[in-house]
Amino acid sequence: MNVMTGVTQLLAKSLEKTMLNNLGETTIRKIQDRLFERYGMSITQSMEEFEKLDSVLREFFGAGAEGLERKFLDSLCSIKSKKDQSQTRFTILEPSIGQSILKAYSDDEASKILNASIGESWTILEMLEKLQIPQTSGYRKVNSLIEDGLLIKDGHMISASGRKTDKYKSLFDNVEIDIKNNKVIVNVQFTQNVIDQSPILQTVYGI
Amino acid sequence: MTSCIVVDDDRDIVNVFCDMLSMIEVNVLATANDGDQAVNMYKKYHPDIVFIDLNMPKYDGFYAIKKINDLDPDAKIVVVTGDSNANRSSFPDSLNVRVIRKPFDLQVIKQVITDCLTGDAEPAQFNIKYQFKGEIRSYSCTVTYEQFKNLKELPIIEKCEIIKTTKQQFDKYANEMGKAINLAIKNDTSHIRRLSELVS
Repeated sequence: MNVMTGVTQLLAKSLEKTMLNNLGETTIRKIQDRLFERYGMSITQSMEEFEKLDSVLREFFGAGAEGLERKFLDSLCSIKSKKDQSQTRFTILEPSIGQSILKAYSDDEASKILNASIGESWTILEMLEKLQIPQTSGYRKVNSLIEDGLLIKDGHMISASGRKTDKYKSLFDNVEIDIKNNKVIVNVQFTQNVIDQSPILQTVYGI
Repeated sequence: MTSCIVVDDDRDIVNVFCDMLSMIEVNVLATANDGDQAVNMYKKYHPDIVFIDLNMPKYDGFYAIKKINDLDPDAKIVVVTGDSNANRSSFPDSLNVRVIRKPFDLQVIKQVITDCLTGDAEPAQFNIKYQFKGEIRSYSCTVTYEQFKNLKELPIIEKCEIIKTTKQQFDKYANEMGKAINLAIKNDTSHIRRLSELVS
């Protein structure tokens, strides 16, 4: 598992659902068959290797695949301006993704864990000790953040006993939560490492 | 033996054209008098080539070309028309059909049949414009006819249309023209005359 899993995990489920809604069942089935024929993988699996899904979409739609991919991802998280593009700031538009971020930041302990792990990776134990969070609830919260893709694996450390322990850090460099016209707006900046290793973001936005 | 169907609402033209085809040993599997019949005949016989008029009452040639291309993107279609501007019309060009203009010239018919059957296998490219539902902005890109068709059928697409053929296709003609000039130097002007009509 690498850092790509974080952003993929965050977007994959919604992206697949959006594709199904917008391409229709017949086309999705054809894409699924072709993906399996060429790479032996399902659409869900291809989210991890987005360039393979991209190549199949290009077979079907030529250069039109670029517009489709952009449309799909823009409905989940979009870059609103050139300034946002240069700062790699995304506005989250998919409610389920926005809710998982809001849920995490509205929880005091989860919020502390995410803030402490921006730009710096820790083992789970280090995090909990540093933040003085009880281990029982702390492990539960960390696992939930990992499942939602908000905490990502970033290397490991070897203990004195020779045991390998994974280190984690936040998927984001920055999160801004705003309320405009009774609407909650979530803006996020992914870490550069996440962007560099995310085929989805690189393929679609070329960043 | 090459097989074909011939489609024209004028039965006299169908008869004359069929006679000419039999002279050059082309097997006419069936004839039709409108676009709808043409589609049915194509489904039934799967001929090597479809010769079709554009202007017909009820279901015209444009209707049949689109339907046949939908059924088989590799269908070889030759538009037979009395319209002197037909070569300049973007529609036949955009769907990669060949054109024979009336009155018929047996040599031209032979050449078009040869071109159809030995034509470049590389699919033609088209510049298209498409629009997503709920958006005002249009996008454009270059795709093959099959890809254009796939894109057009998506539920997310509001509008998708071919704008014009691409530079590659024009370059293909230019390349052919180079070869035709070489043949003309050797006193064979049939190719250059044909290409001069096609390149607009």
